[in-house]
Amino acid sequence: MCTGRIVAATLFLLLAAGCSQSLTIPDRIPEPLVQALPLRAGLYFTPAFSSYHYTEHEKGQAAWDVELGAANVGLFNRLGTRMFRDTAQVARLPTAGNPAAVDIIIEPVIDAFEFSLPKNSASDQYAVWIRYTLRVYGPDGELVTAWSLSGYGEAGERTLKPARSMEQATVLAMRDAAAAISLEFAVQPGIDKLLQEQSDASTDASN
Amino acid sequence: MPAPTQATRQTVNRLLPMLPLVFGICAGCVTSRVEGLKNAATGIATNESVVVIPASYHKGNRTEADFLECMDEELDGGAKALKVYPREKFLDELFPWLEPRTMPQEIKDLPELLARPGVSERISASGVRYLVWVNGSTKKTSDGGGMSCAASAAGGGCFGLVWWEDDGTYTARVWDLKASSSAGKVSADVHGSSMMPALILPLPFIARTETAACKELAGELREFIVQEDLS
Repeated sequence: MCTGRIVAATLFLLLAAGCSQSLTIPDRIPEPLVQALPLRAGLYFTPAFSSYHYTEHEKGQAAWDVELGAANVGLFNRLGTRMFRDTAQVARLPTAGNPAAVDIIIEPVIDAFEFSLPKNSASDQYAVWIRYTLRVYGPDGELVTAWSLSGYGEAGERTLKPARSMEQATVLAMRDAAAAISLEFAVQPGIDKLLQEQSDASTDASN
Repeated sequence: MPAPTQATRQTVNRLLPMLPLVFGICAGCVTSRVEGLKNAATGIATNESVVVIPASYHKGNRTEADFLECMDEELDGGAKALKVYPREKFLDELFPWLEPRTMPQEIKDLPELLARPGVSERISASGVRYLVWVNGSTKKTSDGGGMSCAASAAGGGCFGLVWWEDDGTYTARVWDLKASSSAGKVSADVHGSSMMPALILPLPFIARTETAACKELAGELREFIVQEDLS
């Protein structure tokens, strides 16, 4: 009787462990092949962003624990390196009394991480959406623009490897957002004006 | 083991005489149709390679990852093996220009892509001559039958028959990066019928529709590229 209970408890624990998925998203988005914008940029990562961690545990459903922060810090560092003339990480946002020695400060924010499992969509796809806001500040700390965008990724179901599929869909969602940022940042309202001013200033200087 | 129900017994009795016939005719059978449409002369030098990329999932394409891997292996093997450039490496080297949201959709978009700073240089360095866009997937189109299984300390078993059909429809559009033009396209339509009869033990007769589609498409694509003339 006692042996039966031990076996049942062990089986239950094994099953419970099998239902819980914990993963750390790898930092593997490549540098974009784009021309650098003529701006010096500072990157400001809040602790909430650097350690962004998504957990979901609904009753009767598998628990998900997705660590996204480190991979996103790596992503924005790599984007910054290729997108701007100079990039540096800054410890705090500038103020009028304590301006930064850069043209812009970018503060990325993860607004939401959402996913859909194959059983939710009646397909064999894991789908992930990540919604970001890029807050861009001038050197005095004034808000230039707050650009909201989302990245979408999907990956096919792999038998007995749900975490692997979720990881792949998440990496693709980050990659999708990175593609949008690297190609559309320059045309965002406020940034386009800033770039025009830079262009006018360099034309004046050369004349 | 509980006794089979009256309905199960009737199903099994009806199906039993048909099983050998069904096995012979239809078990795991695959039929396929492959077509190629060439717009321009092709050919490939020994130092040139091809890369296979799935069309955008933003546009609803869901080509399976294992289908793409199968295509790479099939193109890279056999008597007329082609050099296949690693897909992830190519996409990383050209990031963000071939991403699902940014990839060129039509051949008229190719010159603009090649004119982007650094893009032509990266492509030249990779040695990739042909960019193959794969679109399509394999889907279950119908299924039916029934099977009941039971087990006990004395043993167990299954009775019945289940069957299903899959259709794999794939198209490979071939872009010649050297000529900056479309070389044409190859398509494969594959239909697979699978069944699993069970008399105590289930016997799977599974049509490997996706694999068959991959082999057919890759074989035709290899001929399409290697054969230089327009035929």
